[in-house]
Amino acid sequence: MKVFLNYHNVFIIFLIFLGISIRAYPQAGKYKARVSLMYTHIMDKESYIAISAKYKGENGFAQAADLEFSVYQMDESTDSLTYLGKVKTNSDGKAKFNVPADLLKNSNDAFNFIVRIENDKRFEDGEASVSFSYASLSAEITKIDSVNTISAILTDGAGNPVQGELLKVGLKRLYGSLQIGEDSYETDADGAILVPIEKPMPGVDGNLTYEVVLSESDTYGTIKAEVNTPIGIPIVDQSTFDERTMWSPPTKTPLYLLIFPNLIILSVWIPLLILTINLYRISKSKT
Amino acid sequence: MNITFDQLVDDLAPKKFSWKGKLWVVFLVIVILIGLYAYIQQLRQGLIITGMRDYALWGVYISNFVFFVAISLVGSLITAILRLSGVHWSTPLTRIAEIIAVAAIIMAGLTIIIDMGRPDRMLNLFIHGRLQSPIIWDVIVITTYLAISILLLYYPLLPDFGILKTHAQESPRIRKWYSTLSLNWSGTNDQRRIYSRSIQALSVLIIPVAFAIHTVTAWLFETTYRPGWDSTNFGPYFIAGAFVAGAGAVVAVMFVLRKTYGLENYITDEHFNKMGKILVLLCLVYLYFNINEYLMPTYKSTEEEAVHLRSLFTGQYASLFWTAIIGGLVLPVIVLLFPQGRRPLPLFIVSLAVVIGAWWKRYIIVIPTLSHPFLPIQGVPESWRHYSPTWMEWSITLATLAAALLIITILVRFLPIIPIQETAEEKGIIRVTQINES
Repeated sequence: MKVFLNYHNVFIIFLIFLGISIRAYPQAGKYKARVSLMYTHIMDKESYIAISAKYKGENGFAQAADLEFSVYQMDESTDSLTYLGKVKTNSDGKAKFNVPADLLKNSNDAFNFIVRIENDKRFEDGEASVSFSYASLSAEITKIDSVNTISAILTDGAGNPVQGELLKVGLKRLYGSLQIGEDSYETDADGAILVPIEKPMPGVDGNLTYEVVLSESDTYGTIKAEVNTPIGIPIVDQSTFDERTMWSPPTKTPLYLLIFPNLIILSVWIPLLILTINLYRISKSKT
Repeated sequence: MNITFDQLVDDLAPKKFSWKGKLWVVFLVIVILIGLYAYIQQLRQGLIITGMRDYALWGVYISNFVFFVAISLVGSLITAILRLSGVHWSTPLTRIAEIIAVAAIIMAGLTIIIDMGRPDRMLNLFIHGRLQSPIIWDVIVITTYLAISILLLYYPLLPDFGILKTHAQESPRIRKWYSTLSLNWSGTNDQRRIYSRSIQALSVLIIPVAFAIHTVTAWLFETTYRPGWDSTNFGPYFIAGAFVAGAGAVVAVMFVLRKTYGLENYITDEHFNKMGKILVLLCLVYLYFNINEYLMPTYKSTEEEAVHLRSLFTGQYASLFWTAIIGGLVLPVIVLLFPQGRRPLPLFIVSLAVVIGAWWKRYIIVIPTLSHPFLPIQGVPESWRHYSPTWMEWSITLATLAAALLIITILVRFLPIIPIQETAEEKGIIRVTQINES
């Protein structure tokens, strides 16, 4: 009995009763939100849980905008929940909760996070969880036989290479990632991939940002490593914004278009002015 | 024809409307009021009340605008070109041409405002206008032409106002107006010197501006890269067409005025004969430009041009196109080549055909091209691909035409249709000094 009443079992019983109570007494007039979570780790930058919420309204599925979630970390060893903070969805029903870096230790332990809808006016209470193991992805550009090559290594929390995962390689552009090479590359026994960069690409001042991505892995979530390198073709700024062009605003009219039309206008309007003055002269003429 | 100065003034001085004239004015006012109602609806609801959509973004308003600009060119033809050429037979027609030019250019400007979705923002054209835009060129040139046309109408009126202030059979109030408008004209040497030089200067000045106004209007189309408008020939093509329309309008108006006011002694059959000859020449020149405009694109038949030309020659616009070309150009040329065709009544009928043909020709220039852009517009309803003016558009357009006729009618009511002073001098009825004595 003593074993039965430990904290872990009490919590499960509590959740069961909570679930039963939700099912037994549905919250009248409230929508049920469908929540999906994805853990993403951008190496040396940030780790976050991407939350996406939608619901079935009168006109079909719609994004659950302005919906607040409470985020907890669950410690399986102690069956305890640690409150981390709150986050609210935007107009697209999406939210991003940054996971503090010190929470993620380099270990093979699984991390569990729970997000909850609590006491919302429009949506029923509910929760979703995400579990993942820590992994690290490193990438660099090296020259192999005079060819620039992206080499990336995927290791788990204990630093061991992860074999058999599919990594995507791309070049970061303004509106997304431009695929480099094949669709994806499988990590070898060393957890490594080698991808030659066949074509030179343009970049601002020749700087390019390549990215290697482990995408939506069941075990590790999404992990991305970025590598900046000045191997691109420098983009020459061809903007005519400061020049006098046919498409610029009135303040930047081409000079010839200012000079000649205005000369023509003056050459017509000055005589017209004189002719108008002549009317006055006629009216004042007595002899 | 031996007539005295008083008889001449009596013949040529403005006359009050007869009952027919009053009925005509009432008719025009009713048409304008209907158009005004439609325009108020347009102001309240926006251009959605028109048939214009993503494809035909220029509709009947713009074709009407081009027509008015074309008609206004007649002022420079009759007044300036013939005056500078030393042609005197055209004297009785100059005032009619000037009046038509002023009425047409006023309505051209108003028609552009009617075409605006937000006329309340019209001032922005001047505040934020860019000299790179042909729209601004058009605004400048129309304003300039309006100013010159008014001056060219007003200057030759000075001696006539001087005569009318003492001789007109009008109320004292109107005679006072004539007196004010005569600017103390007494025909002094000094006044005559300034007057002659000014008219000479205006006659020279108006020709390039008149050419510019229609060339710039052509450029509005030509600078837009579309099938049917992509031509380096468009400026002269438009000017040739404008001369035809303008000459046709003068003939039609002079026939009506001659009949209404009994001016057979002043606007003679010979005037019609000569105007008929001018009209046939202008029609032939315009026909030549039409052949250029349609033959070469037909010969090359690039994909987009071919689609556009098919719609004109055998497709949706074929009946309009051939009616305008044959009825408004070819048949007039054939009729006017014969002396009997240049008699007043046949010439009047031909001139009406020319003017109506000229209006529809502008419609054909504007609308079919917009229906066939180089880049098809994506994701629009099928109905947007075809333009059909709504009754409100027609009402507004007819109202602008009626307004132009009303301006002409009112000016004809208060201004001498035929220059009194000039006619008297040409007929040797008065010498220069007689104005002072009478």
